[in-house]
Amino acid sequence: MTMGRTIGLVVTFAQRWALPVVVAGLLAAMVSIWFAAGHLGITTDTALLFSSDLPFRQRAVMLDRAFPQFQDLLVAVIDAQEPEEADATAAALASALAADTVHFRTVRRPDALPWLHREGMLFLKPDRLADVLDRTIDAQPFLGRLAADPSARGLFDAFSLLATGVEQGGMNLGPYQAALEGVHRTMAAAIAGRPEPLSWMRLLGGDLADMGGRYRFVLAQPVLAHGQLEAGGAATKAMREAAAQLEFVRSGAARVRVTGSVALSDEEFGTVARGVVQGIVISVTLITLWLFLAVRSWRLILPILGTLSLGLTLTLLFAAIAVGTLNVMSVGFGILFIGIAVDFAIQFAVRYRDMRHRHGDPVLAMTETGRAVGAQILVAAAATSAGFLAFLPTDFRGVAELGLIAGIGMLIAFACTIVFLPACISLLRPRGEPAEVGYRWGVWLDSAIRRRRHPVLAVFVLLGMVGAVQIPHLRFDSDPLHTKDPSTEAMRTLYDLMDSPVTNPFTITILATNPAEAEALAQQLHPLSLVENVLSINSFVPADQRQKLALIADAADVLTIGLTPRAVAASPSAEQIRAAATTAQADIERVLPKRPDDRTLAAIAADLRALVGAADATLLATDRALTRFLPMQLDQLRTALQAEPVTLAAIPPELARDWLLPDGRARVQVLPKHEARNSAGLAAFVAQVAAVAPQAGGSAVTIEASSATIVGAFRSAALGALVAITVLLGVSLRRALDAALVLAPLLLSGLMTAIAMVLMPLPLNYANIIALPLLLGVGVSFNIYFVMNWRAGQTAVLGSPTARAILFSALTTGTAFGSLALSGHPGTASMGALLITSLVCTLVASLVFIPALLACLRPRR
Amino acid sequence: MRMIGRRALVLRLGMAGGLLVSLATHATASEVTAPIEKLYAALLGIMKQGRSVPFSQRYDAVAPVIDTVFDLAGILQVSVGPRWAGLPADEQAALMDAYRRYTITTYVANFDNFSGQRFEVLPTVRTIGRDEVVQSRIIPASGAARQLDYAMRQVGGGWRIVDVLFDGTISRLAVQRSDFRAVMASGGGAALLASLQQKTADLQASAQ
Repeated sequence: MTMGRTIGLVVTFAQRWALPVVVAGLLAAMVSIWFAAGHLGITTDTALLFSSDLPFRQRAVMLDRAFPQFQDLLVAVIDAQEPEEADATAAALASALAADTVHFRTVRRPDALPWLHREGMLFLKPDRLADVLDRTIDAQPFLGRLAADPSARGLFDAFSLLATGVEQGGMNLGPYQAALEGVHRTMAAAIAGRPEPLSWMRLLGGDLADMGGRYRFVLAQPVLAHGQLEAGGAATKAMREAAAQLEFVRSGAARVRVTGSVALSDEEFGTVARGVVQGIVISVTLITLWLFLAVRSWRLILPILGTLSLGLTLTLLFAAIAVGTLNVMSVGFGILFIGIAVDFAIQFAVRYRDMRHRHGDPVLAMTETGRAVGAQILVAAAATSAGFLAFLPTDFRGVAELGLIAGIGMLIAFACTIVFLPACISLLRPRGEPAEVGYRWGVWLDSAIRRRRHPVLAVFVLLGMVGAVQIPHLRFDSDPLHTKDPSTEAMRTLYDLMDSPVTNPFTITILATNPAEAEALAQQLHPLSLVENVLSINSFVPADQRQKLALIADAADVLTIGLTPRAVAASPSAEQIRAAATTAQADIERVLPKRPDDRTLAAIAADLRALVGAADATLLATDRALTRFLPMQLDQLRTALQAEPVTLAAIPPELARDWLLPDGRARVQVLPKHEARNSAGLAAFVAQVAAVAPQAGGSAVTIEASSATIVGAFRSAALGALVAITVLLGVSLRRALDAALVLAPLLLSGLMTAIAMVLMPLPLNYANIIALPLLLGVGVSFNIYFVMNWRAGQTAVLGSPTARAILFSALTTGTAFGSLALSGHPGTASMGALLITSLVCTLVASLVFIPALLACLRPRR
Repeated sequence: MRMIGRRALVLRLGMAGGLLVSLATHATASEVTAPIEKLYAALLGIMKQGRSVPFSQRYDAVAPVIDTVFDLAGILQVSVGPRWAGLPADEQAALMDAYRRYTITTYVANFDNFSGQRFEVLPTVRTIGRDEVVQSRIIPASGAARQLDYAMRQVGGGWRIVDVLFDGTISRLAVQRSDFRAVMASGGGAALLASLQQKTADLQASAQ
């Protein structure tokens, strides 16, 4: 072939002008690094991975622009033993963050508006509301006394009055049982030295306190450092430091965890980045080991490594010029390059050793190597490059750019292999090759396969058929959370939040023209089987207001005067508390014989006795524990009793901004049921809602649509790669049979991979689906070498130096990909696992199937 | 004589005028506190009569005052709560009657002996919403004074008591509401009626 001869000339040229070539290469490398360092950026914005023409992208962009307050959030999730502790912690954290304008742009607490405190009771169902109000009225004697004297002294005075009421009037203590229980528990704990604040919210409201969920949220938009891998790192650190200072966090009663889109991205990139350094170190070490086994001489290994490095830097230069910014996917071109491009250099070096064995003269050997191997490597590089370039016309920009960089990178690798590598080798002057380069056992294997070629072929055909059957059974796991490291704090918090429909982050957002249309839409969406709830601005206008306001006004009639004391007593001293406890104890013990079954009352009497004998510090600690949160709760109760009718106009702007746009459009948020948490459920949920509202957007829609885009992109990429490779093979080999000989094992290895995936099992997901088109690029080169050798008349397949080269190529590629499989990041690890699996299948197909196949055909020439 | 008489008249008129003026400035406050004074006067009356006078006589002595001074209908309605509107008219009437008897009997039974107690009504009133709160004290001959606040509201043209707050903080209305709710939970209006009548009978029996 003229191609072979041309490449032979190039190699000879490089050999003759070795020193200038090497120097030029080094200079080129330095220039590339300098340019790339200055011009190549990384963006961690995953939204840019998709073409902005896609409808779901356009909807997402529109929603982002309409509601900028939901972008780039750091969410502090606070939970505590008592609801008041969570509220207090959230309030303190919010004010601390608001003061830190260096790290935070905006800070909000959407669940803690004063308006919600006032109108909160209107959102209860009428019978629930009536129950709460009844229980509050039941507690009036306590509350009245406590409003005038919000201390332990006031509480003990109230006990005395209760006792008097029982004694003189036969008062029924039934309604107070729960409250007395709660007080007894707090007193007992305080006396035992473990004071914990009493939750008056729980005492008065019961499980009402847990109605909004156990979490309180502080939403902060941090100042992002976009150039860094962890853009929100500084802000997250500031948030954690602020949280660590808070009182209840220090005492251990409250817990603050950080999640939100910024935290999730940062932790993801952190995980990926950690793995990368380890991966590179392991890869380089192992690869050097394989290289040593393949070529046995430092004088060959160093040129190979040098060629690899030069190729990588030149590809970086190309990336900087052509793309400018690497994204999350295209940053992986490095591993791809190392894994695949090293094959060319190994192939060249091993065949060179063989030529040295046959023709002793290094110059002649080099020229022959170029002539014999050059065309093969060119076809292999071109085929692999075509496979990568097939990614270009997809909507998944992330992988399209990867395809461009890797595709051109393959060609750059080829160029370096035929110019830089020969120059380096001739400079280092490796010693001659006394022995055969191919493996002896390879020859033995060759004859074994030749003898049994028909059974071997039958087995492979069977495997192929089984594989074909398995293909529909391949699972695609479109849950994006499964590709992330679940042990990071942001992810763990997210999983906790997802359990409750109130805080599930996978929702659908629809923009209706006005609130009335939003209401109509909500009516249509409520009956759908996977819809848990539909929220809009109308959700903040409670139903049955007249009835509820009447209930509240009625309760206010009874309660208001008692809750508004003439004067509030000053904090008591330990002595005053002791005196009140003594009186209360005497009063209760007088009454105990009348109520022999009342264990709570007896327990309280015992607590009071213990308190009277306790130290001053204990008395004050008990006082604080009992009444810490009382004034706040009394205030909230007084506010809630003044509830006013709610209309759309009455909703405060801080709340309305989340639901209503200035031009009147209303946001409708659809929450999914628990069954819609997995990928199948989510798809069904999106389908149900989209049938009613085709213009739906939001996180659930984005996930479904991106998964569809990704799968579609890879499907077309795989097909495109197959077509491109076929065309290329047709053009370069010019014989249909030869092209078929290259393609058949490729397809077979794909089918075998499918079998392996079903058996392991190894589901496809966002991260590892890229392995499928890669498999084509990896596998095609091995087959090309064998087939082109066979065309040239070589009959020994496995015993040839080519087989040795292929073996070590596979080992180096496997090492590079294997380092991915060891990553702590589930997405990357599954990608590595799939790549290795497909590599093994490719190797089996190349090293067993091809020899058997070739043995069945008449030898050429 | 005439000159002294004229000056005295002028002085008396002046004093009367001053009194009138002072009465006018405190008119609102004393309007509100007047019913309480009236109540205490009546209570003092029956306390001084004591057990020597028959129960029914004391009852008849204090009943009209309590009728005027308390907004019994309003208190009963709020004590029963939202269920009141759902009760049949005859049951409502029966409850009204029973509650009236019960209230008056309670007062007669509790204020049945005089041992030097003093009732003091403070002139300043607090305004909370549409109610005025009057502060008063019952000072026994020996021992600590007990504070009693009264919430007054304009009902039917005059100020009437709508709630009594023991110690200034414990609302009788709230306690009654709790009690009545517990009773009515099991038997409705009829149970409440029976309960009121039973309590009245018990009080009467113990006060004979």
